[in-house]
Amino acid sequence: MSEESDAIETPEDANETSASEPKKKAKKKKAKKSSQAKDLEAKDATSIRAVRLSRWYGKVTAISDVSLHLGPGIWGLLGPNGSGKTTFMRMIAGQIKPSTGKLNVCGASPFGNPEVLRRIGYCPESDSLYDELTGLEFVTAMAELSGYAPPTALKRAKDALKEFGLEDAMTRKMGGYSRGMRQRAKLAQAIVHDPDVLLLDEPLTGTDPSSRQTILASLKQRATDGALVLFSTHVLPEIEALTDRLLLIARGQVVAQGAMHEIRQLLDEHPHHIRVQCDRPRELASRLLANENGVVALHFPSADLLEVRTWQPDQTYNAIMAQLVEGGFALRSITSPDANLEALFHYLVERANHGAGTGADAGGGSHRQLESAAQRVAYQQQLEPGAGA
Amino acid sequence: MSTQAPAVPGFGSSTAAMIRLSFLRTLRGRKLRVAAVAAFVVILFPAVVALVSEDAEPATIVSGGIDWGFFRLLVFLLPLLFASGSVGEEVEARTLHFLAMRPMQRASIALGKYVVGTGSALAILWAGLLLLHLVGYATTPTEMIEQFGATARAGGAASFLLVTYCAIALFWGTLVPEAGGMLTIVWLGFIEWFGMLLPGVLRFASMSHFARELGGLERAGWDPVELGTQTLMSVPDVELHWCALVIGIEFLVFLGLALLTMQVAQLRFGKA
Repeated sequence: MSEESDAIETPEDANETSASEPKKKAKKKKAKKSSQAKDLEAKDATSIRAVRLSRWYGKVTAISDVSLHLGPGIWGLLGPNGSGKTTFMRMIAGQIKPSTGKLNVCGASPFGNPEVLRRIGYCPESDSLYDELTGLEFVTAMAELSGYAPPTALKRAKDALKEFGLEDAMTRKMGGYSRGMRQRAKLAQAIVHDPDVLLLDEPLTGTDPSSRQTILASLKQRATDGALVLFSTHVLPEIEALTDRLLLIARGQVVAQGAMHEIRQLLDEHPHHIRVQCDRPRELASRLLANENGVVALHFPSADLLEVRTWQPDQTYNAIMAQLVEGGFALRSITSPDANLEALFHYLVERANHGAGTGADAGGGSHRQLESAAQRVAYQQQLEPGAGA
Repeated sequence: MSTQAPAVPGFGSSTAAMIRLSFLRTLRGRKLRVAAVAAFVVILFPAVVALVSEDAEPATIVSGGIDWGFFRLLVFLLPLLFASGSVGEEVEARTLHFLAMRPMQRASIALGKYVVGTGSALAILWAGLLLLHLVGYATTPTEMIEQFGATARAGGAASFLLVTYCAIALFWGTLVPEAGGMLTIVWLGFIEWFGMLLPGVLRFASMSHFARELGGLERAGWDPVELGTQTLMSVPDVELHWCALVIGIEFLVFLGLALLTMQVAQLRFGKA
């Protein structure tokens, strides 16, 4: 504002050049200040931003050319074992450096950067703990190492352990903890310093349903308070119970990113399977083939079962229902094995495994060329939060 | 969201926190017990000699015990036990994530571990040394008091050497966490142990030689050399303050390298 005032105070009788120069300077100053403010804001913002991030070990590529931007909220990181989830997490946690590309957490590179690390909490996948210590000693030590004075660290550790239901076991040595208790101790050390970015690598492994509820409730509360929670798992229902926003990773690549409903739209891109169990499946098949309804293949897994493969599930469903009524078929069941996230996940993983543009799952068809690397990147960009802004 | 996390701790406070954690773990762990057993075994032999042999001089028993038990054995074993695996074992157990994730200089991790490991080794060394002195001079109380200065001098030199060897072990343990013990054995075995036996200036490669000079022990190995009727001192004499300086420099170099390595290394986190 002061720059603006300076510009206003410029004498009116001054010539045009001398009057415009201070204005230009003021504008420049203002722009510079605004840019600095934006930088500060960016640095303060709770976010993870990766640009063409790759990491390899010798000839093995763990993460390949990943670009993304994650803001506050809960994000599910979904991928099969060996897909690069843990490597990705460890890079974000500042434990390993990217081979190429740029990674910023809260506006700065995390590797060896205490200013960033103080804002990150990490729950590693491994089950290892200091078995000779009690849960309270362990979490207190982690709080002290995070910068709290010993009395405060002790109080925070107790609170963190209570949050995950370990108040009765906190004075027992962790060597005697069950798998679920170990997970909760790991989670307690991850949140003991109130991090803005919480990285959880398979945090629900070994937990019982009750602990699971406690953990999920805590994570949801933290996300509501403005934290970014990145939650990795290979179990789909865990993600579905926690968040609507997903990152699907396979072979080191983010094969899809975005809201659950956006990813579900991908279901329309790949062929659906519809299973109809009825009394005369072959007759039903011939009736379906007689009409244009998107059917691309028919199979008969058993005597009373017809499996239909289609590009246009809605149209095909309608056609099946119409034929069932028209022909007076005795319908036992009609199901779609594709109508869940598991199917989508396997589809995307399979697509990534086969490499871009092979269309191996599509069985031909020109529209399958959309699976080229460029198309996939474009699709990822579309799904990035704020891409449209 | 404005962060609720505390400010980044200073190097001193994070090292102090690391020392507290390492101390607690060392107290609860097995290493102290193993080291105590090793020290006991070292003292056992001179103790038996002192009890069985009537002719043996107490001073000979104690100085022999210090030379063989401490300068040739314990100062090599204790760094292997307390320092070489201090980082590697956490990499192996996958617990180093918890420490490396904290907002502190990674050098604090190594320094905290070094202080506790070396402190434990020194405690064992001095406990053993005092016990040896008490046992060796048990039958001659006057000598026990008179000779305490000599034992303390040897103990001081052994401590200086131990502190340096712990820094060497820590360095190899941080540089190659999965093979820190092996590399420490190779370095201490070849350069330090065999080095202290070599003739001429070759012996200067070994800090053990300088520490023995500081501790007032007799030279070992090929010095002096018997040539016919002549006895030659092949290793040049070095003033004691130069001996201390050389060991001190080696200690600082290795400790500095260890902390630097810890600060910049990725510590095998890349491996699943």
